[in-house]
Amino acid sequence: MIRGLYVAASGMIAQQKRQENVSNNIANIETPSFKKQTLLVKARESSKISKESDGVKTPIGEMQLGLGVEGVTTDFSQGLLRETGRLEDLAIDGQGYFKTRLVSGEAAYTRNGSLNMDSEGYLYNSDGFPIYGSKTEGGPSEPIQIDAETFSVDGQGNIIDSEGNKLWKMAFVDIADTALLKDSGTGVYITETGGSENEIEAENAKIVSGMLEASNVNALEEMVKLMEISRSFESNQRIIQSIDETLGKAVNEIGKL
Amino acid sequence: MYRALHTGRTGMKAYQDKLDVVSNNLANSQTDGYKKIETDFVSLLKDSIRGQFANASENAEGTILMGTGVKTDNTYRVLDQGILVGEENPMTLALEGQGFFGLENESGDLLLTRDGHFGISAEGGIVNGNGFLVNLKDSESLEGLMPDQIEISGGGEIFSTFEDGERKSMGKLRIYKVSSPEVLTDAGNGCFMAGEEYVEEIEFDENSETVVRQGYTEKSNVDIGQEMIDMMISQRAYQMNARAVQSADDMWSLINNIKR
Repeated sequence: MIRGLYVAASGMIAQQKRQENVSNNIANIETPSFKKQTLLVKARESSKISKESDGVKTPIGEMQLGLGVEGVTTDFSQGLLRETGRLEDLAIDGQGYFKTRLVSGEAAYTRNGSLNMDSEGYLYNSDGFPIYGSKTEGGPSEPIQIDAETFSVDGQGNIIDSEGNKLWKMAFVDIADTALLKDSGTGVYITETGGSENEIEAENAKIVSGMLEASNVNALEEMVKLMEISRSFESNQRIIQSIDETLGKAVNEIGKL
Repeated sequence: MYRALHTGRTGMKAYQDKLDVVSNNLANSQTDGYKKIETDFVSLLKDSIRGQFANASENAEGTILMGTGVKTDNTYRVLDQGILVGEENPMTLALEGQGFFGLENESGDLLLTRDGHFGISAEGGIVNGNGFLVNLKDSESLEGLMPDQIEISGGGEIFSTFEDGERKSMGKLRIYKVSSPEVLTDAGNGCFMAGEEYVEEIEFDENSETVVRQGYTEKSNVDIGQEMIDMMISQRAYQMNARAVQSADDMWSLINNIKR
């Protein structure tokens, strides 16, 4: 009986965590290139239960005791491309990432290509991460610094000045398995090792200038989830109440003369 | 539960900021020389929650990273060209291409503006509607001249035709450019200020992309349709975040009601 109370409470806690996750997806519905996250919940491992009579324990089977949060997955599906008309806005159509580096030196990947040039000519995206590239094909990867006022970017990530000279090649890569990518917040992803050994050629992707990738959060889906969560939360609450009532009866009414 | 309330709140705050920007743009959709403002949304840092299955957790520390909301960041001016419209007054100037007119305010600071509603002051200088002097070089006093005697070339050179038919150069407009739109700060009345190190004067030659147009005014570059759509999106997204907050509140109320 008391066990049931904890099972229902574990249900409420898990739904609460899911609700927090949905809130975050909703808050980021307009954040460029945001990828929605789903919280995974899993039934707790079943435990053996047994009955005891005359001092002898007899196993009578297994019972699952509630659920818990297992992890979080990021849905890397493509967001809609939205026209901005700003040539420095780059969107990726297909599987690919721009390369950047965290302050701590780890290789990081982002799909946010809303670029700005600082007064020294370095390119940053709107999340504040420097964009990396190489001056020559196969050259060393370094932060892109442009010595021209205007530039354009072609589908493969070549940065071209107004006279048509190729200035830089943006590092434009894909990751063999998206499961290797960990979301580190503020729109960048890192791999577990922090190195670049998982990079492969971004073959099935191209860069589109003048567009931004919208968030892939689906408003309807999130609202339905919100409803489902709050109702499931409510049912768990009712179960706790009804167990409490039954317990109340057992404690107070059995044995009443 | 606290976290969901705060995540929803960050969303509401961000869309409110966005609405402020949109309404400022809409209010200035008919202001000459106005440059629209844009703002970016940035997701906030991740917070870790404890996983309940140590072996299947997201990373080595046994924690799961979950987002904590959104904020607006990096509000900047979009310096796209506005439409040029013809004006009767020959002292109305517009710039085609990048650049700004330079003005000097009471304290001697350099103000940058795209609003070219100028006139000739009693002292013979060129002034804008607030009485600020327009920066000129090699200039001579225009005292006593009528606006229709003034002719300004595409390169910003000022010529005047005197009553005896003599045509003479009276100086040149100084046109400035900035290294990036982010360095501009608002100085009110359609003027901007920027740190000295970011401002540079444009030297005109045959290849200059900037042209001074006399008898034209530059309209605001706000696209009303775009702003209306942004307004609708922001309003609905605000509503949706409010719903998430409400639903977190409902759930909290259910917790409070477990014990009757």
